Amino acid sequence: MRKLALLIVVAMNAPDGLAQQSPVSGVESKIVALERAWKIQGYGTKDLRTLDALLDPAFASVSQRGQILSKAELLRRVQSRQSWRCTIEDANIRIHADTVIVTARYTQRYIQDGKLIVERGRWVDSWQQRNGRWIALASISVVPEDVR
Amino acid sequence: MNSIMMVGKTHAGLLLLLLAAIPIKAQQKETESTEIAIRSLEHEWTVGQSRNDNSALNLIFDNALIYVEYGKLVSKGEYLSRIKKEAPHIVLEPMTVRVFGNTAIVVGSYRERQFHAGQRKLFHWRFVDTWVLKKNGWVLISAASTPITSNP
Repeated sequence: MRKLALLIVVAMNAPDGLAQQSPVSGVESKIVALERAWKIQGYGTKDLRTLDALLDPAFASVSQRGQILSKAELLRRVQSRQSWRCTIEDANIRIHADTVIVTARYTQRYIQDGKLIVERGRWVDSWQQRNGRWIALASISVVPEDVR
Repeated sequence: MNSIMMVGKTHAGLLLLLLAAIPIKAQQKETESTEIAIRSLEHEWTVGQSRNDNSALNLIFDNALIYVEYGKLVSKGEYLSRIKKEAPHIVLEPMTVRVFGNTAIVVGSYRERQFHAGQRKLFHWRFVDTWVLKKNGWVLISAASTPITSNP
């Protein structure tokens, strides 16, 4: 299997010091690991058990075409897509106590109806810490280009 | 004697059920009032935008806001300076508010009318907003929208 390249640059640039600063590094590395488990391992190996553990039952996802997917619908999509591969770049993490926002640029490739689909964009994920565990609440994928 | 004990046990059981229901009811009420507050803030945001009211928007947006518009990551300052110049006309459509303690997620859609480079353009967007409760109330910490297209 082709080795996936992963480049994650964590930007420590919360302006005005309002986003919580400390202990930032532990939370950031944890969230980066969870993003990998979700987008790279979960999607790439169809690891539904990991995805089920990471996503809140009320999780909502918006695809870059504006379609809303529930957790169950997203898991079905993961099952149905062939060879889903994802790379992440330029991650930016903002910590607000028990809530974390992550945005990153992504490239994903998958086979649909026998065709290779390549999509690029930026996603924004919302995480919440609950009883010591981080759970994803929502995710939106956004088309990259200026559509105006 | 046995029947008296049974009645006593039944009453005690009912009382326990009622007592257990009180915090659940209180939590439901709190969630409902949070949902109303968040919907109201979403509307305030729309009105603030259309009136170039940056001081109102400044209170709604957290300083560490992550804002993705037209596929670009912009800061609160960059967004406010655009709004000051452009004042887009936005019509909100139905939205869903999910409350998770001190965090709320809003998923919805809106239509936007813009005059850009001398042309009138219409857009239909899907958005996800994240709000958190801080010491001065609910503030927006992330917002992103993507155009709704017909392909799934």
